[in-house]
Amino acid sequence: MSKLFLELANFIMLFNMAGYAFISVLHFFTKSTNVKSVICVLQICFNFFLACSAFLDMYLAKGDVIYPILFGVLAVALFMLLSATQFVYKKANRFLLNNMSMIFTVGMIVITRISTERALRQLMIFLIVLVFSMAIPYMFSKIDIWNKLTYVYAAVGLALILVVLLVGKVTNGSKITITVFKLTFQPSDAVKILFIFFLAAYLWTDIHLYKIVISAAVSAMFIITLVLSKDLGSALIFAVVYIFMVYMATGNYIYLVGGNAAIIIASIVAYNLFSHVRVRFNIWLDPWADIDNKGYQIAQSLFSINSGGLFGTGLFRGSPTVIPFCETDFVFSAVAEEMGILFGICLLIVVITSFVEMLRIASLIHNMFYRLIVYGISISLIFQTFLTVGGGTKFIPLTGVTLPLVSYGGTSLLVSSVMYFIVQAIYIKLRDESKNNLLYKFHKDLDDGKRKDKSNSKTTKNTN
Amino acid sequence: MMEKEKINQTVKQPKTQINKETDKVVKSDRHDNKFYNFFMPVEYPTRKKQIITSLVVFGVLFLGIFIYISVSYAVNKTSYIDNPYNRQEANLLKQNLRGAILSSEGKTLAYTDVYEDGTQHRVYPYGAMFAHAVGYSDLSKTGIEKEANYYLVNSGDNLLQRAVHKTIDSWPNAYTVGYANGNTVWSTLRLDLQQAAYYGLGNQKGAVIVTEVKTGKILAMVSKPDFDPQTIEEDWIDLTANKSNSALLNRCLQGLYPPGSTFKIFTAKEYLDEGYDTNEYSFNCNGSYSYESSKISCYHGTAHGTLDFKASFAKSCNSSFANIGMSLNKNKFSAGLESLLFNEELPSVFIDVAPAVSTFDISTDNKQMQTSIGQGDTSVTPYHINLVTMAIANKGKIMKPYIIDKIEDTNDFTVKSYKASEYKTIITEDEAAFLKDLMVEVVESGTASALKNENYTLAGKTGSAEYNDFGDSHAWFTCFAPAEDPEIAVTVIVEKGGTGSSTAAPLAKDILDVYFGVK
Repeated sequence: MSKLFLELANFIMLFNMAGYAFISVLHFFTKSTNVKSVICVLQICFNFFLACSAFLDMYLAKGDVIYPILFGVLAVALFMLLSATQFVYKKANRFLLNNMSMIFTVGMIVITRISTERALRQLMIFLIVLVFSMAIPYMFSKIDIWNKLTYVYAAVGLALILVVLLVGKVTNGSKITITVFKLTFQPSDAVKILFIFFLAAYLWTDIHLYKIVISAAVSAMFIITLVLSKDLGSALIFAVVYIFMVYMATGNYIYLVGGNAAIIIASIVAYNLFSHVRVRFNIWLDPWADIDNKGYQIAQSLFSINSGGLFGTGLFRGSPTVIPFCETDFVFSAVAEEMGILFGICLLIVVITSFVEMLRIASLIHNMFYRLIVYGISISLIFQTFLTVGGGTKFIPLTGVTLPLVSYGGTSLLVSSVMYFIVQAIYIKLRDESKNNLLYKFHKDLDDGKRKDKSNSKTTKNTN
Repeated sequence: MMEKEKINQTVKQPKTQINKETDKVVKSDRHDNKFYNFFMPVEYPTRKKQIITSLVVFGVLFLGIFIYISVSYAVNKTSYIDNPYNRQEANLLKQNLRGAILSSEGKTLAYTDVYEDGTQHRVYPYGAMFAHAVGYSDLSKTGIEKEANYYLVNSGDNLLQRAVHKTIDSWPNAYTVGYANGNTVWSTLRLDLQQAAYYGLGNQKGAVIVTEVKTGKILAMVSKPDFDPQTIEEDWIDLTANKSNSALLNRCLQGLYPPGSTFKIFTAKEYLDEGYDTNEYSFNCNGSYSYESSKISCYHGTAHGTLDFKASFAKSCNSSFANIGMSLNKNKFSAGLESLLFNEELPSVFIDVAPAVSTFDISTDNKQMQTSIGQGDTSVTPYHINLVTMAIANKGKIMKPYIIDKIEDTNDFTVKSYKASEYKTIITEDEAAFLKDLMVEVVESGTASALKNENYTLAGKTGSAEYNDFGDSHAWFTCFAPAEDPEIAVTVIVEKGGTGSSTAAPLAKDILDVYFGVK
């Protein structure tokens, strides 16, 4: 019987994942709140059964008691995430919470398969992160000066990445980590949030050309610092987030088109200026030429994805661990090898539904500051996903960023979790305040052409 | 009617009146489309277009990834597995037993056995007989073992079969329990023909290739000297050290030999092509032919007397063909030979064994004369000669040769089947008929008349290719049968075998006899 389960486990897992992805997409095509709440319950069921089948599979394959223990801790963590959040914040967005839980579950399955010690560590970090994250909606409801700290965000953010550039540790050719009290951080990940807040706080009131120029200059400082630290992936994310946020703030297509043209020009300049950019690009063109050395990683990643086929080899039956950094930058390849390409695609669909939900929330918000934050976060998360998956599959050159909520690593997990909870916080705030409709009135005034009048906004705030 | 239209207009009008400056949306703008609707469920100012643009941009990017992954999987799945850096094969072999390779009659040519200690061993019941065709899989891979590697290590066993560790009856070994069965490869090779060719060659070096002219199926492929694929790992050092033997070389595909008189097929075709009337051709052979300072002699200096074109070919008269060769235009001759697959890559049978490229040199008059009788700086592979023979037999059309018929899983489900496909038409139907007549005459009254028999008609051409200055020669014979409606083409080369008619032709006859059930 257990043998049969071992053979079937992959299909059970795929069934749960595909079912989850399917109802998540369905969620957007129904208006009935009843159907939506049924979908949310079903999502939790699929999530639970996915975790059950995966950890049972691993337990049966290895017979180690650590797997049931990990499952237990994971169940507690997810219960905390799903129930406690909803208990404290009745108006939390259940759909995003469920997605967060599902994506993290997949990450835990992969990391557990790769290394149980790391899985345990990741879970512990998640529990701490969760406690911190759950305070965010409360902070947002009590503190209302988020849109006034414009230059603080920029200064702190820049300072952080400059410190990394100057004293950071060189890992794998890039200066991206810094060690404080024996804990290693990757500040560029966290600075992403500060950067989004800076842009939102700077651009939300009114749009003048000089504002665009100054924000572009500040963003360029961020991006150039990151390029100098050889953190190309983060640099690219910052650039794209900046372009999309300006596009959203102005509503003008020219910034989107012009911004992307600027990225392409900057990439060509970077290609000619920096040898490590050239190396990355050449590996992308032909990873087989230097398979022993520089092309090894991407070649192994491609082997992994293709050797699993559509349904995957089954847990412990592939060898994703031969890819260097399989648990961080190449976690998608590990998922695709052992759980199948279809499973990987379903995972991406779930990530995309998160993106769509965030966009939906952004469209509901009439406060431009909060809208820009939600929008910026959604773009940052989805673009990071695109970079890491595209890089691992050789769709685009490799940049070495993590897959939010899936990859192993404290900073990445913290930042993605905080991002999700900031969106939650804004969503909760929106639902709280839309009741008395004050916020609506306030912004209606702004959009009627009084946005420049700051005194006006202050008075409205007071009534609020 | 009018009123109805009016009502419609009043309903429609607000839709077109969106205040673009403030991006404000009025209630009536709400679209009927659900997809648009969920982005703007309330009447607030919204950046609907911007939101949808972002969605579309990333939607397209991810769609690109999905398509890229799927296409890359479909394209690369069979080739990635052969990369030495890929551990997929090792992983699969922990669960699946490498599948069997069968001859077209269903005889097992290779299978995997599991020993008591749990180690897997590849077994080749016919030893060295299929060394080059089936290949080997230990150490590295070649032949069918490499060509079908992906399918051999994958299994079509269903979940239940895997779960209950079912193994097929033909492998009653208890140690195979626990493994799923790899797919079975049905080759096009025929054991009886392969045996005839293998034993016919005996201890001589050489190569035999037998193909089905209407499909391109390779029925037999023997190259000697050979090796035992089962012990390749132990023998490897000896095999690679012995350069003069080059046992690992597949002589059918990669052995380059002077074509000898088999090249007269090419010369005859070119003579016809350049518009000469072959019916009016006549030559008086006194045993040799001289052009300027160089001289060509007939074999053993035999004087053939007065010959027409057909007899020149049938008797394989060197003097006459040197005469014919010298009447050809150099440029046209070059172009003609290139159209007959010289200087180009031949269709591949195995991905890792690229057929050698046949070359010629007619830059000087002497070289042109030598080449026209198949000597000089001309070299061909047996495979090339066989392809041309196939073309003559099949009205000018070459079918692409292939060696794997189909791949089946253990439940007899066909995983993949290989279809006959046309490779190229190199000569016209008339030219094919003309050359066929010439080759029939070779057996009727010419150098291969010993092969004439009552059971089947055949058309062929002998060749004795001198490879040194002492007159020693490789023996060639290429033929197809039955002449009226050709089925198979056989090409034989025996290194240092002397004349084609004495060594190569009888071997071809042995194979044909087996094919037609005479023996």
